[in-house]
Amino acid sequence: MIFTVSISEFSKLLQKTLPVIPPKSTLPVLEHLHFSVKNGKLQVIATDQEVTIMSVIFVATESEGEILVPGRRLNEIIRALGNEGEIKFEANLDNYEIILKTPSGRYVIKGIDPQEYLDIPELFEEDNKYEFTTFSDNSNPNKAFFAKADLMRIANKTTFAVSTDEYRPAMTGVLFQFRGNRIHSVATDSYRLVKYTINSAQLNFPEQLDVIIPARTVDLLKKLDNDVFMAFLERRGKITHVRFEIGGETLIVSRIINEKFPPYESVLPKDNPIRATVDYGAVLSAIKRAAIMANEKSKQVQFIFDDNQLTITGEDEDSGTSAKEQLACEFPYPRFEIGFNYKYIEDAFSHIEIQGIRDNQAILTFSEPTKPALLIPNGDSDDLVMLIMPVRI
Amino acid sequence: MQLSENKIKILPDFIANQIAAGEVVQRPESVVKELIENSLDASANSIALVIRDAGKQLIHIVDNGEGMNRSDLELSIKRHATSKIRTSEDLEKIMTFGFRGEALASITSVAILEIRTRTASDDHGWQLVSEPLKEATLQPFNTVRGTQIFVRNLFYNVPARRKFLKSNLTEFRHIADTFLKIALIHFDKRFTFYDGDNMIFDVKPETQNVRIINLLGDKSRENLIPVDYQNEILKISGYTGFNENSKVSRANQYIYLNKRPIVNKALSHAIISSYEHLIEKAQPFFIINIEIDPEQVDVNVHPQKNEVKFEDDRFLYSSLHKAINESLIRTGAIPQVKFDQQTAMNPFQTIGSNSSDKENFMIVNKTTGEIISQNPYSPSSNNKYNSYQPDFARKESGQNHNFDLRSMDALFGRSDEPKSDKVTIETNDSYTSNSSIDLSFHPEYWQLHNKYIILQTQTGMMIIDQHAAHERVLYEKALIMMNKEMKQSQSLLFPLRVRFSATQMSLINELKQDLDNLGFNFNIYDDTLEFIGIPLDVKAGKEDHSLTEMLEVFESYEKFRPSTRRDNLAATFACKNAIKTGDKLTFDEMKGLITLLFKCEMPYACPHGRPTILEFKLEDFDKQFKRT
Ligand SMILES: Nc1ncnc2c1ncn2[C@@H]1O[C@H](COP(=O)(O)OP(=O)(O)OP(=O)(O)O)[C@@H](O)[C@H]1O
Ligand SMILES: [Mg+2]
Repeated sequence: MIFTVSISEFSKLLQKTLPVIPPKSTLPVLEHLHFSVKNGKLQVIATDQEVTIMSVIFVATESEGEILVPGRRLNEIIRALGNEGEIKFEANLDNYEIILKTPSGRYVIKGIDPQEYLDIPELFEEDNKYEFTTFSDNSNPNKAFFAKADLMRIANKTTFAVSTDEYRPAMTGVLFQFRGNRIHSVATDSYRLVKYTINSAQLNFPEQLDVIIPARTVDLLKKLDNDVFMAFLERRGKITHVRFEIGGETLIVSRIINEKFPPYESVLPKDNPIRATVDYGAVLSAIKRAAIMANEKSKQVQFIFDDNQLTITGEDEDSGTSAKEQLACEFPYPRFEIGFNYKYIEDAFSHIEIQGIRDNQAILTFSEPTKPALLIPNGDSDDLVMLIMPVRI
Repeated sequence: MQLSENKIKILPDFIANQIAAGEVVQRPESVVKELIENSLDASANSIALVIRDAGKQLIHIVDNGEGMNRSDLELSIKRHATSKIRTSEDLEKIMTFGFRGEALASITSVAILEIRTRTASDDHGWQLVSEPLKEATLQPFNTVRGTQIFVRNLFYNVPARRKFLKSNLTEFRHIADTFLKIALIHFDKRFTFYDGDNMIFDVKPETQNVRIINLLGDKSRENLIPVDYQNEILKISGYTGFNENSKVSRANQYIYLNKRPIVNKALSHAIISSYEHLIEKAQPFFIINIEIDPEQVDVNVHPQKNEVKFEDDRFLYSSLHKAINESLIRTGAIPQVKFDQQTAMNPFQTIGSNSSDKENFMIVNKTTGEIISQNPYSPSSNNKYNSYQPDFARKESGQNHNFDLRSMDALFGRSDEPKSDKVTIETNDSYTSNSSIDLSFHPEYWQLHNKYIILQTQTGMMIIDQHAAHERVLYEKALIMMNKEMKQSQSLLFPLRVRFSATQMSLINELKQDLDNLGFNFNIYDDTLEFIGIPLDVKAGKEDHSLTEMLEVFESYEKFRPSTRRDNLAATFACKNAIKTGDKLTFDEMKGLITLLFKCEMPYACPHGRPTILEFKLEDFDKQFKRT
């Protein structure tokens, strides 16, 4: 197997696929990328058995073949070569030795036999254990088309809030709620919740479908270079996998989380009567500064609203350090005090910016110091809602 | 123009005395303690104590000491009247138990006081009777040499205080414990103790081991292990041994400094830790006196004088530990020196074992048993009295015992800074600096096998056990939270329901308040808890397991750890929520953890007594590399 490819394109391909390689695997074979060269194209596959990614580029082919390549090692070499020029990739399919050649250099690494790679039936349509829709099949209702910006925004606004608790798997993913021409994406770890909605002019989405997609998979959608077709793979009438086709060249297949998402609608406060309008950038940097003082023991920052002024404090009683930030805000109510874990409130403020946000302002709403607080961008749409649970003090 | 009225006024003496009394005299036991100390200061070698109604009605003391002449007697009940110190230099080296001239003045503001006394040179004695707010009366009185003091109706004029007193049984126990404590160490004097007409004990001058047997009972006879240790700075003597019923009893653990009973968790720990592997989860007893130049200690830090501040805590800690270890080895209680045992397995630890001075290479030896805590609810509240000042920077602890006390800055200072082997002047700052360690300039931490943190110190390196260290941090925090009722709790959006067994439920009901203070905020429905808030330290994803696991461990602790419930609860909370061995830590996490660790009152061991820190000296490395 021999091909030549531009270093920059090759590098881009590796950056796309490598994130799927598990950081530490009990199966060494998973730390490898599956390379195959056929019909003038190089196809690279990476999987951790839950998420699989496949990406294709054109290469100048001398001879075809398949091999497993140690992914991170290869990436280190390619990154060190910079971004210019070409590289020649020669794999000896008898002893799986790989030689990388540049005009001035020659690198040898060891690959392994492609037979050892895992079966990924979901990926390969030929192996038809699954009944699933091809992308072009218009008759299937369970498919969606996303403009790349929309999907990227969903990914960027939600995954920070998911839970890492493996005991509550439903919360380790992002809920996609398809409702005709809108889609709600929701993530929560039960300390905070984010709900982000996008609307589509055309009817691109399934009429009514709820599916939880692992956060790891959604993370892969944060940077996209093309629009996306999303489809679902079913087995005996039940959705088991989701599949994203990005442009013509990249495919991501991921299992979905087959759990019930917590009933989030009922906990979203309908009308928090107390509303504070703040400059979110100013609040964010104030939280960050206050957190430096608070972060050791209490992890907690205090918000005190009084007389059109917001005071943010953080303190560490023990070392006697404390911080106090005062900001102007719109707050025509009697004094109100509430405490937060600084991490959660900081996360919320650092994700609140959206298109069309008015005057760089966000609105915090409350009912009681022990009840959920909401953060929304100032504007007409209610596309983005963050909920933060306070700390009782 | 009209002048506004002055608001600040000097308090009348009497009120000032009552306020001081609040500090000095907290309960009948405090009176007993003050009076006996006065008798000892007056060189009495026979002291009798009679109490009625647990001291509430009467505390009566008879001694055969020097007595007072008429004018001394008159002055004795005045505030700041003392025969014991004259100058402020005297305060630096207090040899007597009293030094403030406050005790009798305080007592007389809250009780009816009568003193009968006569000196050797006077041919008759004097009697003084003093009541709160009344002029004292003084008249000649026929009595023998020595002093008798009667304290009647304690707190009769301070109803709030009187109400605050505990049951007679409890107050009696306090008195008995204090009297016993003193009698155990002044074994060369006679002590007699009556509760009303019942004699509790009467012990004549004798040797200390006989005194211990007489007071603590026959059982202790077989296993009294003498402790006798001396170095340039201090002398440690006394007895230790296994408690007869060592599974449950943590009684009979007494430490004295120059024969003054003191409370010091770290020092107790130094002793208990020597018993590692010897007593399965149990407590030794000890009656240990540390003799040290009074200039090296400050006893003037606590109104009850039972807390002291040392110039060099770490040296004291390691000396004490060593003293006990040597005794245990000598008597064959420890079959072989533990350091050598470990040496074989751990190359790092061979380093110290070559040096003659074993404490050189370890901050804390392998230790066991939890930390004794007389006041377990607020480990940091008495920080200022009991600041456990680590002194890693001391060089050559074998030779240079000049109590060089340096701040943490020195500990982590860059090695290219000019090093001084001289004593640094101790300022008040360096004591308080303990709580504001600035590690920010320290450039490097390394994590070893996701288990230990390695860092460079001025004289070598330290290895910190990440789990044990975090346990210690959370333990002290939990105690503070429970004590302060901080109730900090992260509310949950989706309440968590967890079912518990009937026994667990009853435990939960018992511990409800403490759990709530820790931040577990829940409703109880039959056998199910609905959590609506959890402590901020509970790792996300461990919410429902945290309490279940805690309860399991707590139940087993309760069986054999005779410490308080809160102590146990705090230890379990810490154990279950601490960073685990195997967790990868970021630089900031390591830094944060170490900063918090050194803010702890007792940073050197986890709540179960395992060490948190090992220290290795560069000079020992040098020796190993044959550089010297
Ligand atoms: N039993 C006693 N025999 C002889 N003198 C005594 C006796 N008790 C008290 N005194 C005298 O009375 C003085 C005042 O006693 P008091 O206990 O009030 O103060 P102190 O012992 O000097 O200091 P402190 O307040 O620290 O106890 C003592 O300094 C001592 O001279
Ligand atoms: Mg006195």
